[in-house]
Amino acid sequence: MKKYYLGEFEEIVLLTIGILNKEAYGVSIKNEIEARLARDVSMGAMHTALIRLEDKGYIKSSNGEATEERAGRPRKYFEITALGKKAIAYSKSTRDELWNAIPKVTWDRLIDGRHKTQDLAHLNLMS
Amino acid sequence: MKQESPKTANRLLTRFLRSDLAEEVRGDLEEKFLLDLKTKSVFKAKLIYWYQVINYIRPFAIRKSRLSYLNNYDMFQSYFKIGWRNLLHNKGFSFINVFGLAIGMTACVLIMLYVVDEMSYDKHHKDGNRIYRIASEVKSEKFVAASAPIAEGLKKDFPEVEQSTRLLRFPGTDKMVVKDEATQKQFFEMNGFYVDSTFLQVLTYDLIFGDDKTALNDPNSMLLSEEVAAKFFGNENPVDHVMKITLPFGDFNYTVKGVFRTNKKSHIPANLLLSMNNSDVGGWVKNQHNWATNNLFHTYVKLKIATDPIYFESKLTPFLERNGGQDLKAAGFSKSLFIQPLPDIYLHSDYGFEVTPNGSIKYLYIFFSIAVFLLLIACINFMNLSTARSERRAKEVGLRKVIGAEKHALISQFLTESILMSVLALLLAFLLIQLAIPIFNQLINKQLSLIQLPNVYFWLVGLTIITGLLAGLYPAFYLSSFKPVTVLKGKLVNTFSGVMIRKGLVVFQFTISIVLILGAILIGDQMRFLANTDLGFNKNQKIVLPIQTAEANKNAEALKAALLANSKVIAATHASSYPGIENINDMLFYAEGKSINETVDIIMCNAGNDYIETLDIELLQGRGFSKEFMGDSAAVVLNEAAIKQLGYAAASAVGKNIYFEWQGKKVTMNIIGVVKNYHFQSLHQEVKPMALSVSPFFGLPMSYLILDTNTNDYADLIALLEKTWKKINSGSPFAYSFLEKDFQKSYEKEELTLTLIRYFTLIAIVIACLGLFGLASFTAEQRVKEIGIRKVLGSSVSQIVMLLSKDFLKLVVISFIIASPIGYYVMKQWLQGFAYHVNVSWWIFALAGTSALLIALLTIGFQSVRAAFANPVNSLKSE
Repeated sequence: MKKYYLGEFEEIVLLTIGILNKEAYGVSIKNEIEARLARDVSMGAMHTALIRLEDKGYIKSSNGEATEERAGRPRKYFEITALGKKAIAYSKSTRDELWNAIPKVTWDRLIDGRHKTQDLAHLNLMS
Repeated sequence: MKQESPKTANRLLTRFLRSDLAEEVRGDLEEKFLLDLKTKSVFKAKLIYWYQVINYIRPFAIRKSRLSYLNNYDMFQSYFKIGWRNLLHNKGFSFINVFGLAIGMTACVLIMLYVVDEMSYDKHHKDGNRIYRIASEVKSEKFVAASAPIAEGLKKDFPEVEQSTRLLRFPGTDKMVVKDEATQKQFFEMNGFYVDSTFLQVLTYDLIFGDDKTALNDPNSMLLSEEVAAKFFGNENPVDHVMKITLPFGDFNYTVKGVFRTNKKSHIPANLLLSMNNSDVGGWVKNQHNWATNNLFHTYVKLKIATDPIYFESKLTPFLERNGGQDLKAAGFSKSLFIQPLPDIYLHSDYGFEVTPNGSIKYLYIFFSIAVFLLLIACINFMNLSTARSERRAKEVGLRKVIGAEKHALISQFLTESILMSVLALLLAFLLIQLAIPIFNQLINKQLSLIQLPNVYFWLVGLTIITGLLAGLYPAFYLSSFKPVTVLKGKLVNTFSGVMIRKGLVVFQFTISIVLILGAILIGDQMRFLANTDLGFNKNQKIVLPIQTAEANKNAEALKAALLANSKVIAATHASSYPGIENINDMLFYAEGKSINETVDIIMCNAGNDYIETLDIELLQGRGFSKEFMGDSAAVVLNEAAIKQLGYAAASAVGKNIYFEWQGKKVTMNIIGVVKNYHFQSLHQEVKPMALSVSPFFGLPMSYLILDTNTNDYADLIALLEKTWKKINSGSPFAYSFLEKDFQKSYEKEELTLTLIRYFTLIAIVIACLGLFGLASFTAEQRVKEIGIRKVLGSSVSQIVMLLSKDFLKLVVISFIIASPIGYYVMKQWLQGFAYHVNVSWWIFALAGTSALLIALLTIGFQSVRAAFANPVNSLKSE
């Protein structure tokens, strides 16, 4: 069942739009993601995600005022739609479900392992 | 100063970016750029800008090709309509174009049909790439067969040999009489071969009747080709039917065990496959244990998977040395073995004792290049005429551009037009091919049809589109690159480079044509030389009757006497061979005072007493054979070549002895005469040492009766011969051939090449001239005002003709200069195939050059003269 489909990056973009509230447009979204997640985002990649999200109806856009720093071009602002909210809620709930379903022993074993072998050292990053 | 975003990057962006995204993307990028400028260096900001722009090259952002927004169908309909109108508007031009292309395609397809057919030999054998033929080399003479024990020895000594088998084309049995006792039907059948029981395990035959696993297991089994089976049995299953085979040494019964299809071509054109384990030659075969001599067995091996054939080949000669060292020593020569891959045999093998004469890769290359060049010439015509005529349509192009046609639209318009023409040419070519195939088949003596090539239609349509594209590409790009302003202003758009290219193409066409003319003249000259050379004997009016049944053999002398009673038969002789046919019998002789290690390979011909007289061979010294001399059974008549190689002098050779060793015994032969060298083989080869003998020792069957006749009415004479034959040999079918024709058969390949080259040269010239004609008429038309003014000012007709023709003739002269060395080289190469040949002399070039010039002159002349005679008033009255 694929009721809502959100790619990982799309999800991030969607969440960021939510964070920025009414101030979400190209450059601000990019900056926000880069600041919060410490990862590089190319405009092209982000734009792809925005267009996909808009096509799916998770976000809607509206033209803002033209500004000088954009050489007279209007900003395009994005907002989460009701459908977008559902999608992201669905995404969160499925993640939570999965998270909760992980038996406790899994974590215990991994934590034990950390002490026993050097090979599992990289798991440090996970906890 | 305010920094601006990189211009080039922006230009790139607008190039590919979807226009509905442009505003937003540009805005974002611009803003980001400003932001970056605050924190980073200008260079870095620009670099980031570039990076972002390049990152937009993604499917979602790239603009769709403009075409998809247009209504293509309507445009193409319009192109089609305009193209068709153009075609009809210029009927002459269209005809030249379409017809030229059609001829080119027809010729190309016909030749390709031939080429593909020649290449299809032996491609059907299962695991064919692991099958090899074992061939021998003795004294640098290559022989495609091997001694009898080699096949079995290979199987025994080499684990990598999966299976080996032999085929025997028994000398003197080229025609076998096959008889069905039940129906009393009997026919002469060619190409009957003896094969080992393992034959079908190595080579693939598709059996209609019978089982290929067991068909050859029993002695005296026989497989028939479907044609032979149909002659005797129609569509019925003949398996287990007993048939009688008549050979010079008797009649023998064979049981039919299968019928094989002949739809796949092979270098073994078998009609009959007889098991080698039989009651006729079988006994002889079983006694063949010598590893050195009797290299008569075509030996095939199938190697196991992943065997390295080169390594295998390198082990063959040591293998022979190991097994047959004794035999080779006794025979007094050394022998090496080499392998021939089965699929390559037909085109690449041309050595001694082939199963039948093979094709030749050399000629295939020649034909293939002719096919390609003919098509090229036709395409060039198309391009030339289209570009030349482009001025006429320059205004149309200009107007279209002004109205908004884009370059790619114009290109597709012109490509549509040229493809339309090439499709028309294809239809015409189809018609021509259908008409020409029967004639072509007759020429090349094959049964080809388009159906034979399964994907020929696919192939032809592809060819058409490629031709259309190829032919249309240059004009399409050339025409669409016109600048509307210049064109509409009426300026000449005939650029220098355009003219140069057109001239270059004309030169190319004529170069090819002249090379072909040169080739045709030279081959013709060589063929005339072959026909007229004194062969050292008289080949005219000689009729040969094969004596190849036991009955005819028994009555040979009676038949000869009866035929000589006819006044039209001047002389007659029996012989084992006659000039022009293959003679593989040879013996190693050595002269007085020499040993077995200094032998000369001499070809043996068993001859009747009257051989020398009947063939009119010149006797230089001594005498020929005669009934009066009883001792002639140990006598030989040698030719000059043999005398020379033995180290004797012609004048003193008579009376001397020569020796050979046979099964350890030394045998002496006495020279009784010396004949002048005569060509018992075709002029491809030097005259080799040869001996005539009446000695029964060599045991060669006297398979032919040669008659020297004198008549004007062959039909009548042959009827008489047949009547006499029937009276004496009632049970044997009558057959005859003319010695001259048999001799001429050695030149079949050359004759075929000559005929084909003649025809295709003609076609090449026609196509090239059609092009020249079109160009000339176009030039005359273009310069019509100039001519008018010149005439008004007093130019004479001849001056104007000169003016118009000069340019073209110059091109022909240039072509001639280019073609001559190419032609010279090609001709030299071709002549190397002959030991006796004409020289490439200057008159061939003179003839080719003049004829090319004349043809060109005629072609252009008509147009030029017409232009020169035109009334200037007509051309000058309007502007």
